[in-house]
Amino acid sequence: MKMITTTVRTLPAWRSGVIFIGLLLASTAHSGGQGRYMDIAVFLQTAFAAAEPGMSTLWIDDELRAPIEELLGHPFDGLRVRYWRDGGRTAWVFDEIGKEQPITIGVSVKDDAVEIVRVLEFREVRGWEIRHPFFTDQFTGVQVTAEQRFNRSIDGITGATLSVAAVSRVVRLALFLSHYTEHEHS
Amino acid sequence: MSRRGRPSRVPQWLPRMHRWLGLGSLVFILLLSCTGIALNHSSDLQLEQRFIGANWLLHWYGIDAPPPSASFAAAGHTLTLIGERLYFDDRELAENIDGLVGAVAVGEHIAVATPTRVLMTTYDGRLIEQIDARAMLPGEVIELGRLGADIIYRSEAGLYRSDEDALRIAPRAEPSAKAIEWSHAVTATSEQLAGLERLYRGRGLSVQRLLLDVHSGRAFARLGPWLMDVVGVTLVAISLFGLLLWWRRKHDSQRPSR
Repeated sequence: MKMITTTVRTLPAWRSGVIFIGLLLASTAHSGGQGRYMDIAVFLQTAFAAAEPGMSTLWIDDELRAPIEELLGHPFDGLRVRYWRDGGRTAWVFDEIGKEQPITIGVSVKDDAVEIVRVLEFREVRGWEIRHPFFTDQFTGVQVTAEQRFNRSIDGITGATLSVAAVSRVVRLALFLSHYTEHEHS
Repeated sequence: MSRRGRPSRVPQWLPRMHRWLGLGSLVFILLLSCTGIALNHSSDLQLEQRFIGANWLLHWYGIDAPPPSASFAAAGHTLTLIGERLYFDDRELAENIDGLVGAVAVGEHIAVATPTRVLMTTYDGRLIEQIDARAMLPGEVIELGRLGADIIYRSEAGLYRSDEDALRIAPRAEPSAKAIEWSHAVTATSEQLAGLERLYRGRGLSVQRLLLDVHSGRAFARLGPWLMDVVGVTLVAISLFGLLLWWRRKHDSQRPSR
């Protein structure tokens, strides 16, 4: 049997470092995060594990529009919002623009606290890291104060500032509307 | 000669150069300062939401409206898709629209379908809501029609129906072909298209983008950034000349007079 011998040359440390940094940059430069991650139906199954929720609608009159637009920091498109409700739990799906494209975000709320946040569809070029649980799970249990601020801090993601802000706006909106439908509207 | 009658050690060209460089860069200093301050407060001033309407500037930027993808008529109104923007007559209804499949008037609403969404509007063109059609019917919407008080959707999987609120979409048995009034594409008039083109182009250039381009020099074509580089170097030169002048004059004033 013929022995095959190979010589493995060890790269100098600086060259390995350059290659490593190059590979790291190449992997981070690729956006690749656009896509539809979850159907609304799957999100609702996740939020309402035990029962199929009923769909309700909420008409946005001028009185309700003012605080909504204050929360969002921009005009709110639409006269009606549909949401899902079962017992004390509500679920909301909103499109919110991060930089240029709408991000579809689902939020479920119970007892004025966030239960689940999911990024259902991401269309922006950057900032897709917000879809990961390490970010969305931070919102679990979050409530808003009377000044509509979160009762605890949410860690941002470097390079995804606008997407993080979009998710935060939607979560605040969902908490506000959930409280409104549960306590003031019903 | 200095004020005390002594020969000055400050070369004569230095104050002259300092003065002319200062005057020459005055316009640019004002431009950079004003645009810089405005950009610093961009979000407060909502510069991204304000748009430039000047035709010559839009022309300079090469901002043109693409030809309309489709137009549909419903209840005497025309829905037109240009690029990713959907127009209800002569006003913008929604953006980021992926196509236009049809528009029908049912009851108190007008339903507009894209392959993946259903938009409900009032008769005066206010958006009621956008519904993700993929959550309610399989496949993309191919055709939109009406049958009595129902909205009819043809998807890749067959026929579906909803009431005018589109709260729930349910499968529907194929009725006779004549029964459904399918939405048909129309051709927008040249007058309508000219108006929509103006609207589309009017949303093409934000004040923020213009200010950024002026600030960086990109607004002045390919030479702009180089021009701003020259201005930057000139400002550095003015600072150094000024420092040199101050130092020389201070030194002159401290020399004992003969």
